[in-house]
Amino acid sequence: MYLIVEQEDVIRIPPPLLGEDIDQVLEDLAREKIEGNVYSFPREEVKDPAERKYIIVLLLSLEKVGEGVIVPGDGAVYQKVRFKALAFHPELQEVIVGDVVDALKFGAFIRFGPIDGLLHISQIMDDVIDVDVENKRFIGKESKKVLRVKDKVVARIVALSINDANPRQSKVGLTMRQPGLGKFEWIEELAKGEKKEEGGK
Amino acid sequence: MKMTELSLIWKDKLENVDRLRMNAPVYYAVDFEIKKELELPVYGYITLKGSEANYRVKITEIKKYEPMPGIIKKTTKKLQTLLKIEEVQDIAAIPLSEFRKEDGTYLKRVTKFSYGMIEEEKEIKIKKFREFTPEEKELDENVRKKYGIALPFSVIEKLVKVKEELELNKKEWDKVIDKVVEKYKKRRVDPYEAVGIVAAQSIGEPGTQMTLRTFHYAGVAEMNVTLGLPRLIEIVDARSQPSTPTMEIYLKEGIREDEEKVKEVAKKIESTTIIDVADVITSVADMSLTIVPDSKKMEGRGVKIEDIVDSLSKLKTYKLTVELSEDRIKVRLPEASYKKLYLLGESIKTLTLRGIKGISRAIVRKSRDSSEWVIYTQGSNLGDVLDLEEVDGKRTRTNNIIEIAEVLGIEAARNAIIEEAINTLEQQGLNVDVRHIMLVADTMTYNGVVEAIGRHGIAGEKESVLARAAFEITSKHLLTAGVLGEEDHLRGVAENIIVGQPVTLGTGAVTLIYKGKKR
Amino acid sequence: MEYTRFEIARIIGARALQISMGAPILIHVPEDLIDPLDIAMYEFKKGAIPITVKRKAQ
Repeated sequence: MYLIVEQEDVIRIPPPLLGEDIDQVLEDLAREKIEGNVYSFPREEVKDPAERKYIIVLLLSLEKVGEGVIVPGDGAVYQKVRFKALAFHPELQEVIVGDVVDALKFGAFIRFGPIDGLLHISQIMDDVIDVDVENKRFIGKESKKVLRVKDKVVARIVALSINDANPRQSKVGLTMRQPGLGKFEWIEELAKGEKKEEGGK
Repeated sequence: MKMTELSLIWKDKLENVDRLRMNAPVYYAVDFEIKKELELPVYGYITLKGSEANYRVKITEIKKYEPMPGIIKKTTKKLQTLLKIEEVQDIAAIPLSEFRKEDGTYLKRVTKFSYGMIEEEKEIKIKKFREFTPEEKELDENVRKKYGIALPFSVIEKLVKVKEELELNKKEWDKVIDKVVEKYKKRRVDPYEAVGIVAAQSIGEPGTQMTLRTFHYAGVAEMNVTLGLPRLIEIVDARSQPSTPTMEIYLKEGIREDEEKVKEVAKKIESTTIIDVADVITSVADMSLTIVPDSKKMEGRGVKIEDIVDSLSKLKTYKLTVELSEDRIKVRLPEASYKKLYLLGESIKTLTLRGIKGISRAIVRKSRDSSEWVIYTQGSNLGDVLDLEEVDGKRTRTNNIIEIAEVLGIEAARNAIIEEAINTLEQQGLNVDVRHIMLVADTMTYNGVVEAIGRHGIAGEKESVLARAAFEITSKHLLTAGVLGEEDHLRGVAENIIVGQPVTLGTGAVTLIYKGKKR
Repeated sequence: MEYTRFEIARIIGARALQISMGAPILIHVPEDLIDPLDIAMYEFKKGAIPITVKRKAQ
């Protein structure tokens, strides 16, 4: 989920900013570029392309690699940097904990980090679902279980597509139709039920 | 080195020393007798002028002369002794007066041969090449330290000479050195300068002013030498045979002053082929060739019919039946094949009877400064000509560059390219800085063989697919590259232009870095 | 260090481009110099250009 990564990138320092304290300028520009940007693990480390990418949440440390170069055609300085950062790295089959932030007629949006995942209505529970779009809730026909905005859920990532260019438009597909997944209350009730059974024996 | 034993000292010629040096270890037949019993190995000192010893040789065998193959002869007659020479060393000249005779007196001059003993613990300095004198070495080191550059050897030599000749004091000399270094630095080419294209243009532009026709070589009326642009193209294309191969043969001392002697040599060299003295008639009817000599021509060239028969025996590839009648020779092949008959006919016609193969004419003329007689030839055969005893191998030249590469080596060929090109341009009144031509010559020879500039040579060896495709025969190169999955690293000029990137020469080769200031 | 003419050309050219893109000028330049190229050449003469060359190691 979250890990600390080490990466390299090149920061472009535009000419108007040259002349002041270069190091401070570099840090500000680096932070702007790197935080919220998508980077990848090398191919040898992560085989599955869907799981290679991650989003940088917070820049922790920064150092220059070599000197800043001026390239023909552009007056800006290109500085190669190496940095340590906190990264958000969702993996397939990962179990996440999140909040329902929106309910639409095709499913719920679950916030579990810097991005939201989609819980399709077919994946909410083993039941036929009634969608109450006005009141932003989903009701199971038989079980009568309700899922609404602000509920806390445990879900699993089943589909992953991180968008390099627009990280905020990444798509994560979730499911709760597995044992142990679902709204917190449902899980608690199940646990109580099991205890009762055990107690009864 | 302690030398208490007797050594041999004799006067000899430089050519003999060179031959010994090239062939050692070798048996050397000399014209003096060694009567004493000497303990081998013994040292021999060779003097050229008779007053000082310039070379030292190691002798490991001494015996009476007997003819043997592979020996080097000091003279042609009166050979008495065979010495086995192991090594030839250049030494710093030792005056012969430092050698003692057995009776205790010192040697004076040696005109032919003598025994001698060199002083004990005399240091024999073995010279290699010309090294720095102490002043030159000091100057070189100072210049390196102070200016960080190494001046060329010739400049250092001259500076030291000038200091002595003009008797400069330290201040003046420092100023001179300063100026010299400044001028030298200015003339140096900047790294990443596009010297190739500059050289190409510097040679090409005068090329547009050169004549396209060949004309007679002024001074030697009978001979045709290719001049102007066609010759330059020949040189640069590394043609295996120039269209007018020619040699300038210089002769040794003793022969070159005498016109008659030189004419004799010329006659010896000029080749006579069968077609020059006879007709060759092919008879299909009885599958034979008939050689009909022309008696006048035979006489003129000094050829007898027996010579023709002899030369036919050189055709080893054919099993011939030769019939000699009074005035003609009939040659038959064992197989009845038209093709073989035709080929045989062609071989016979060009068979060399006498003279050196390839030399069709040899003319004797006085040299440009009228001090000697020189042979000018039409046709070139450097290898065989240099073998002749009368020929001065040091000055003889040919215009066939490929031959020079074969006989004298690739460095000689490089120099020949420069000389031929410069002469061709100068003859047309054009002045091109030698550096441009040096670059071309170096490029043509840097692989160890003479290669043409065009697509069969250097240009075709380029690593980049795009560069070769852009040069000639585009589709072939691109197709082959595609099939083989070749990569182009975009290091050269042409490919970067095609792709649209800055070229890796001149300003494109500069990497700029920003050195910002910290507050 | 002593620059080759290619290096000088690129340094002045890159500096002029920087100035034209709004880079601050680090020394006092006479007021009549307004062309970025002129300013860059003036800076070079004064040794005030913050750009240098990276050469390939021997």
